[in-house]
Amino acid sequence: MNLLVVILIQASFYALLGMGYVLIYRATRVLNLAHGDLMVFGAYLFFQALVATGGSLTLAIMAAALGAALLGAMVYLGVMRPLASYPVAVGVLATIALGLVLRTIVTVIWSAQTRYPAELLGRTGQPITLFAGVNVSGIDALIIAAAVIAMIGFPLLLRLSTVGIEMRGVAENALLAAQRGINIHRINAFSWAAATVMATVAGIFFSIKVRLGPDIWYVGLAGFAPALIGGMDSLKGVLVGAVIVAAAEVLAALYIAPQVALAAPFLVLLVALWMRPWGIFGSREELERI
Amino acid sequence: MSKRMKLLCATALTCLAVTAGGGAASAQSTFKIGISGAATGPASPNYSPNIEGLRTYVRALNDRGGVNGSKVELIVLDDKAAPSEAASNAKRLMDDEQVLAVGLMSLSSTYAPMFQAATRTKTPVLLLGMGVCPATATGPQMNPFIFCSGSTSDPNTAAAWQVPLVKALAEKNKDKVRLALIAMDIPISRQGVDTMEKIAGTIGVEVADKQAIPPAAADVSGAAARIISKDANYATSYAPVSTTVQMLGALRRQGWNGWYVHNHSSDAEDTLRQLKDPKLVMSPEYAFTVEKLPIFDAIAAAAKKYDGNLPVDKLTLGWASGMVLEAALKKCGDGCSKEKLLESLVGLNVQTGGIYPDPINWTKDDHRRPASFVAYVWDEKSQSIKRITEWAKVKDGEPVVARMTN
Repeated sequence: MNLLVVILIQASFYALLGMGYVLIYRATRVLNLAHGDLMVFGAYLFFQALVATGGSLTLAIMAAALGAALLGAMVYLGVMRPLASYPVAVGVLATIALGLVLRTIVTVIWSAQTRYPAELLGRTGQPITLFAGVNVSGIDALIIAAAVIAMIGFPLLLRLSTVGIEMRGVAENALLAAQRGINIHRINAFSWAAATVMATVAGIFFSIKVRLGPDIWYVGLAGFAPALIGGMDSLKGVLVGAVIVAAAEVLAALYIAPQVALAAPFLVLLVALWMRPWGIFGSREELERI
Repeated sequence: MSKRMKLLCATALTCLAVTAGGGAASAQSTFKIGISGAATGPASPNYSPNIEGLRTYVRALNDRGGVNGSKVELIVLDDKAAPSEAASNAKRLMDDEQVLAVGLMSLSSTYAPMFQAATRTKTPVLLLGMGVCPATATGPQMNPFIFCSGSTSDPNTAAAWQVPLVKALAEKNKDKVRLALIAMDIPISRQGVDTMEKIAGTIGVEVADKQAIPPAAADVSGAAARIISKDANYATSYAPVSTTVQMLGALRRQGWNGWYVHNHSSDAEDTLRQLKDPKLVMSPEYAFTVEKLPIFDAIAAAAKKYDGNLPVDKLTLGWASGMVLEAALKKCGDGCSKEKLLESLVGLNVQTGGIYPDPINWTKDDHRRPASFVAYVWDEKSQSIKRITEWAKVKDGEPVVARMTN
């Protein structure tokens, strides 16, 4: 039972990360390889806000989310929008460069020193025993809750709100959406902002749970496999992909060796791509368009 | 020879003399030392504080008038812990800058290119800060140009302390040990836990599990679940502190309540203070600032004066490196050259004010630092760090007896 909880926690974290990839891909068809660095930047904003507010979790999260949203929108308007008329590969390359720039900025501002935001919050790593043999720590419970909220909230946003309907319109056919009067750059900026907030949320959880340092950008790449397995343009696909990846990782570490755990999701990814290249819930048309 | 010719020759000779004299004067005006270290990149949390500590020491030294009246010029290059960058740094420092010596403050994977360049250019290389002294370790071996004042013994030496420490802890707690050995999936770390496994067999400690965590693992919950499933009640690692923090967190979140003995690292004290886990044991080769040694006051004063933003405990290993450098240059004296410095390093005797318990004393055949260990934990009662063992000296990788303080 505890094993299922471990898989659920990990899947929730990967789902939070994977959603960022999907949001940006849906809007701009760009695979954002700077997602890990946006995650780190957002986590540092959280840390800075935590220090400034004397350890107020709520205020720090709000400040970090606001900062992340601004950063995401600025990245789109300053970096991605000017490249909109170029092939998609140019945009992908731009995200690699963006990642390197962000990594350098983080090191210059906050140094390479390892930080432990959990210390500023008091200790949240202690487990709560739900029932015999099943332990969940406070931070893990928050990760699951955040993933559930995001998984319910985003589809509702896309279905019911004006901006969500516009996002779907732009994702479906940007040219047609523009002709219908939708400001596609505003919508794309919103998508980048939302994805950066999602990356920041994941970064906040990781920094509280493990540690914060400029080197943790690679953690952000962990959301890539779930997004691809589930389908790059499908939010519900991310959830399924995240569960598959988390289960593959945990079971490989438990029954084979931790070294295999790192490769296991990508092995699953290879099999998934071979069987269904557009992902479990992905759109076949989107793949052809790429 | 005509008068005009004599005048020309005299002028030329004068110019030569002035140039030569000027050259000699400039060689004595500063001691040029190169540093290649992991100032940025994934390994930087372990190494960049060492570089800062050394910089702080050298600034203070130069403000005191330098060494024998000459300033020490540090040329610090970032190698990002990448062997290719280290090779490029070695070339620039040894060939282009013609430094007297290079201080290496980076991962052991950068040693090979640096050692090769040292042999080619006959430049002394000092392994400083968190340098691993490669006695029998995986990777390049010591050679006549390599001197080790670093705080990390080779994995065999560390294993000879950590496993007996686990045994002593368990005896004190009246536990039967089932030990999990944890490495980062890099050669030197794996070698450490392999040696631990062998030592455990010789001193009657049961190994429940042995595993290597990939450096880029985003989550180690599965690996932690495996340790719990094997009923391990003690864990120990020879790995960077990041691996320990990640693994310990994952274990605790799954309800594991065992003891975790971490090998040393330059941020061991800070990590202990931040995690406040009463069953996390740090086993460094240097004194923590809780020992209240006078040298820590000197470091604090220098850090304050030069606007250092790092706490004292992070600067100590870099500071000790500076002490070694100063002593070597002082012994080398005026007109110090690479050859003269190489001679000076043999027989050098440096006391580090208690940062390391033993003096650094290199002989012709042994360029390593004596390996002495100690252990600290977070004491919940006093809400501070406390030492729990006596210092123990490890010789030739022979397991020691760890003596608990009370």
